[in-house]
Amino acid sequence: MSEALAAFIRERAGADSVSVVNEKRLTGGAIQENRAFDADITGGLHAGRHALVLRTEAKSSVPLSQPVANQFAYLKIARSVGMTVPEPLWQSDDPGIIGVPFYLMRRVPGEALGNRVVRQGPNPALAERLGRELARLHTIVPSPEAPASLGAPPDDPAAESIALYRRFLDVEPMPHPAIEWGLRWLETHPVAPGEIVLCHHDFRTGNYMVEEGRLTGILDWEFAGWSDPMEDVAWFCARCWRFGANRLEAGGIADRAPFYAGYETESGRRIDPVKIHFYEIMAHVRWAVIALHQCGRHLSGAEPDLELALIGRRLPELEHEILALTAPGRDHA
Amino acid sequence: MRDKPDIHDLLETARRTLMEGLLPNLPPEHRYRAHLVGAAMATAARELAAGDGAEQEERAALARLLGQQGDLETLNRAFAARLRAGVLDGSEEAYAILTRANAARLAECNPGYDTG
Repeated sequence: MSEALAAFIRERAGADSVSVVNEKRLTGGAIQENRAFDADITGGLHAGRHALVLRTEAKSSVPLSQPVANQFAYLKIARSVGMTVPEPLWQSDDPGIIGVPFYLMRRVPGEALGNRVVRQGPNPALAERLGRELARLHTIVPSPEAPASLGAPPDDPAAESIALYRRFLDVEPMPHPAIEWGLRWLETHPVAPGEIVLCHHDFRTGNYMVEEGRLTGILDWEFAGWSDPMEDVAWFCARCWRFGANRLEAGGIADRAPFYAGYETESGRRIDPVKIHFYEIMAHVRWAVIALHQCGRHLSGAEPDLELALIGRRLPELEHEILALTAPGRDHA
Repeated sequence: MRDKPDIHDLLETARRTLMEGLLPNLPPEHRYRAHLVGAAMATAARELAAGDGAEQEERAALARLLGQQGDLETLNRAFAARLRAGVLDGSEEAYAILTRANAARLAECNPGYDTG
C-alpha cells in the first residue's frame, strides 16, 4: 500500500519522488479507518516532509455515512469559511490505488478521544471557541454552488428525520418501544421549521482534536447535511456526548453558557431553548438507531465484533435520556 | 448437581483474573479490547444475578395495558405499534412501564449511570 500511495502522491504533488514512512493505524471510530503516515517529498511545490492522515471508505457503511469524496468536499467548504479543520489535500475514488476510495489530509496534533478530552477538566474557552466554529459552518446556506451531494434542502428537517428513524426501526429485528415513545413525542411536539444551514451532524466531543487545551481540528465530516442549526447545537450538548462529565452540559468540557455565547456572538443568531430541548431528544433517538444498526453488524454475523456487540448495550443509557426528557405532562423545556 | 464453583463465581473469578492479573501486563494496544472483554463479562454476570424478575413484571404490565397475552417480544411489538399509532400519547401507564423496564436494563448494562 505504501508504494501505491507514494506513487499517487508523486503524481498529485508533481514531485520527483515520494516515500511513505512511519505508517500507523489510528484509533478511529467503528465506522471508518484512518491511517497516519509521513510523506517525504522530493521536488515540486510540496517538497519536504508532510505529516498526513489517510481516510478510507468504510468497508461496511452506516446508512447515514457518506462517501469519502463528499467528506473531502465538506472539509474544503469548512476551510473556506475559516473553520479549524485538517487541510484536505488529495482525493481519489480509483479502487486501483489502495483498493478503496480515500483522501489525504494534513495531520493535526492533539488528542480526540472523548474520555481523555473530558478528563482534562473544564475548559470554557474551548467551548466558546467551538461555539464560534459551529457558527461559521452555519453561515453556509443552500445555493447553486453547494455540492450536489448535499441534495435538496429539506422543508421540514425534523419531520424528515422522524420518518427516517422510523424506517430504521422498521428493519430492526426487535421492537424498541422507548425509541418509539420518543419519536411520537417529537411528532406531537413539533418545532416550526426555520433556517436551513449546513450542519456537521456529528459535532461533539470525541470528534475534535485538542492540544494543550486548544482546538486543533474538527473531524469526521461523513454525516454533514442540510438541517436546522439548532440540531448541531443540541447534539453537542446532548448527555450522550459528555463522556461521564454530566454536570458540564456542553460536551463534558464546560457549562452551556460559554458554548452558547460563542455561537450567538459569532452567528448573530439566538439559541432557541425549545428547539434545543426538541433536538436533544432527537439526538438520543438518532444515536440509538445508529447504535442499533452498528450492533446489527455484529448480530447478523456479517462482522462479529465485541465493540459492535457492546454498542447494543448502550441502548438503556440512550433510552433513559429519551424518557427523562419526555415525561408526560412535561412540555418543551 | 453441578460442582462448585457456581456460574457467578466462575464469571467473576475469570473477570478479575483478566482485569487484575492480565490487563496490566498487556501491551497498550490490546488494553482497550481487554477492557471490553471485562465489561461484557461484568454485564453478563449482573444479568445472571438479576434473574428474570424484571422481565416477568414487564410482561405482566404490558399484558394489562394492551389487554392481550404473549411473550415479551410479541407484547413489545404490539406496544411499539400502538405508541407509533398515537393511541398511547401521554399515557402515564405506558410511560411507567417504559421507565421501569429501562431502569432494570440500565442497572445491568451500566450500574454506575447517574440517573439524577
